[in-house]
Amino acid sequence: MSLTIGLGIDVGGTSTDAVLINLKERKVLSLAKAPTTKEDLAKGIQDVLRRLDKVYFPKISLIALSTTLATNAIVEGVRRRVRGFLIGYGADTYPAEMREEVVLIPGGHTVEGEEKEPLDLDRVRAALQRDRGEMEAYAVCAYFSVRNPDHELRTKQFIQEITRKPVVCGHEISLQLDAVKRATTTLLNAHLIPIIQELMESVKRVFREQNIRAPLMVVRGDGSLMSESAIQYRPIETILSGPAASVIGATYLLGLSRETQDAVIVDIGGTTTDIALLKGGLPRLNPKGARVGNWQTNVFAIDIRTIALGGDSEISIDHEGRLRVGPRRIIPLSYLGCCYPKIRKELQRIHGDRRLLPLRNNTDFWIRLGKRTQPGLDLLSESVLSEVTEKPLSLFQLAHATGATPTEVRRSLSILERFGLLQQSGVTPTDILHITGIFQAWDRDAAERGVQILCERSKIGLSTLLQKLEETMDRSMGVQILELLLSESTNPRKGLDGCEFCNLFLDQCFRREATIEGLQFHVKVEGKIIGIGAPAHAFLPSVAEKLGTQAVIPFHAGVASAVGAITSAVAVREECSIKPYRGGFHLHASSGVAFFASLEEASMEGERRLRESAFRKAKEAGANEVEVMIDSQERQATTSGGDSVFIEKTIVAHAMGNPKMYHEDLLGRFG
Amino acid sequence: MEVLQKISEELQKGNYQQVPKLVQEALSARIPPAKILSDGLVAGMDVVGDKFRRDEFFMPEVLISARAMQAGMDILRPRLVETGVKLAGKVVLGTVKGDLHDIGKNLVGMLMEGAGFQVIDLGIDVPSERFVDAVKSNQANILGLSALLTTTMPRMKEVIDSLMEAGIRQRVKVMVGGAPVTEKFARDIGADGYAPDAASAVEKVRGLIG
Repeated sequence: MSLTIGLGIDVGGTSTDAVLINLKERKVLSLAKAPTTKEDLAKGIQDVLRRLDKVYFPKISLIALSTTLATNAIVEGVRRRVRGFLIGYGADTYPAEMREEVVLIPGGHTVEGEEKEPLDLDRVRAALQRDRGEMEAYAVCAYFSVRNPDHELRTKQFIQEITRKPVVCGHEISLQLDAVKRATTTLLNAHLIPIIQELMESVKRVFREQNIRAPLMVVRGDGSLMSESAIQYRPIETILSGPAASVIGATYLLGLSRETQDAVIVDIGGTTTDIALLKGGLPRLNPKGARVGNWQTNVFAIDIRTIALGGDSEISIDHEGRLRVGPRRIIPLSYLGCCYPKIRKELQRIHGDRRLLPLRNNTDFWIRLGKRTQPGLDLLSESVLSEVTEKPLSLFQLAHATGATPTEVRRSLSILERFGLLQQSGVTPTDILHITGIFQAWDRDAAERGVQILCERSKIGLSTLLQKLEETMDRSMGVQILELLLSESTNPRKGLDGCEFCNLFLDQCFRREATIEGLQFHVKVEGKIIGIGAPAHAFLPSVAEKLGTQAVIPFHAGVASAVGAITSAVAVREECSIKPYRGGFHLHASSGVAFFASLEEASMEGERRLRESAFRKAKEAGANEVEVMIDSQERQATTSGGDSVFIEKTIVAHAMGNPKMYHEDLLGRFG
Repeated sequence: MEVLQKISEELQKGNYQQVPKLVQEALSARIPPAKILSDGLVAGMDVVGDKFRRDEFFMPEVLISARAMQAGMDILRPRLVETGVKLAGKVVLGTVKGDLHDIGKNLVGMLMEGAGFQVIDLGIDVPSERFVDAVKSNQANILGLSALLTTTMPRMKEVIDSLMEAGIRQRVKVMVGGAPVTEKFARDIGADGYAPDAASAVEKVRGLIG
């Protein structure tokens, strides 16, 4: 008798989460968290596995992993030795930063899919000889390969015969127009290939050591799964896999069926809040392609909006009495008080000292980060740095200790902060939660003192402060939610609050009470708001109420990504297009171009090819039983005279299937 | 100014011999070229366009006035370039591949120039790549496509696809026109705008880039 147990792992920016789920009964059996070890991600996985209930290990049938590896590598500018061949490209049609790795090759096609210039493989051979086999991966991108992949395919075959390294073509990554995005994406993909290979090797080793033998799947940025061998070829598709998995996980945990739900997902973290949409039970994707760091790719990944607002965001009040939350992340006073109880005394002293009250930022403490130093600091900064080495100090303690004025010390503190040598601590939403009693983990006393000082300094009462905080956070999150929901219908240049009326409208929507006599503004969001992230249950209910809906927070929301990874499915998308050509029709597919006299013949052949390739690719991606669905869209235009003109027909095939699992009784068959 | 008023009136009458003479007169009187353009030529064409929309003028009158304006522009153009008059925009125009009609396109070109745009007219039977190259090299912000045959209308989509492949679709506003073209067709192929005639084309373009 075999249990169907799945192991889901999410390697996030801060923590690595793991969950064991009985897939048949939809029950979470065991879950654990461990800190992510950036230098060696496999170690974090090893740590988290140790914290799981080992009795289930021999019964694991499937492993699924979501990771930020690709996103991080791109954002941090990691570069490997890769060569990109751009065929038929002009000098200005690829990003300048990639100049070193790019070789331009004569060739390419026209918009109709005809050869514009013959492919010059001699230049390719010359480049390969110059590289002397030192490259780790190759990217091949041809102009209009979307309409005819012939040059890319021939170049790929040529390279593979000479070297034995991985080669990935532009049309294999995307069939969307825009040669610049395609080149960028294919080149970034090449850089990621050796990186992901290394990660998969070390991860598989960890599983072997723990005696877990099951197929390993990896989550893609659209939430679907792909086998680890298939993903090594297109690692760029794993960007944004964590957020995509968390959307799927939240849906699963709430017991929502895959086909029927539309909702807004809000993930409140320490520094940022991520917002995404659920449409028909799946994450809504960004049709323009995912943006990673400064790079614009054409990968179809989850459309996610991030705002710099979180549980540990700095709360400040400006001289006009306006409350601001974020964008900076600081250490909550309650947390600092837990580690260094002595700050309570200093807070008490500041609170009691009437002279200090009018000054800004006097609840803030500073503490040393690590042991690094920076050469070339001025005397005062050096002095300040050495003072905060042992314990956190307030601005006044530092002024007293160094003999400088608070203003001078402030300047030094800014410098030191910029160099990452110390970090500020102060009042944050987490501290407010301690006062309202929702969150009790750390030092409530320190939080209370800090908030009292903040209130007296700004001359507002505690209940007013709480109200302003709620309104500010609700408005930030609410506007971003509305922008995302409206992104298909409108794209205002200056954002939703770009005009005076809209600003007023939004302002009134997110206040607790209307402040314009005789007029109330309301907005109604029809789907629910699903919250994940530790502070979610504290902050989401009020946003949801103002948006005319409810907040729902699933149990186990903290491991939603890991859950989503193991409960997702394989999904593959293939497309082809038919365009008019010289009295007949051209079928443009990833297998090549073909001419047909009639639209029916072209459509039938297109569908046949798509079914075959979608089925095959889903199997290669690790699906067990595959179901293929075909959808087509024909565009006809009507002339002013009433005639019909055929513009184009697009056919899309979606192949879906559950991942193949490993069962004890079928030992060795899938291993 | 009297002479600017006369320029406008003679232009409306289609007097292509008088208009350039009056323009020269205005230049000699040290009236700034930009003012001659706006208060003389453009003012006149605006009246013509207005009358055309109200069915008081028809195509022949518009063409005759346009010819008079062209004659005036031939004198004024080099002086405008000299004084570095700020352009309202840069327009690339052309009739798509396989199509040889150009009367409407030429009229649009003249009116756009009169409205202060720099016009690069690629002519007729223009393949997609030439449109893309012209938009790139001139850094144009408007592309106007013309087609008068139903068989060549799909070429307009091709041009838009070529702009997308070149990664420059966002940089330019695409307008389409021609007898068989409709507003719905423009939307279906992903163009930014459509105008039924040359006069409204200028208005539409101003709206798109404004």
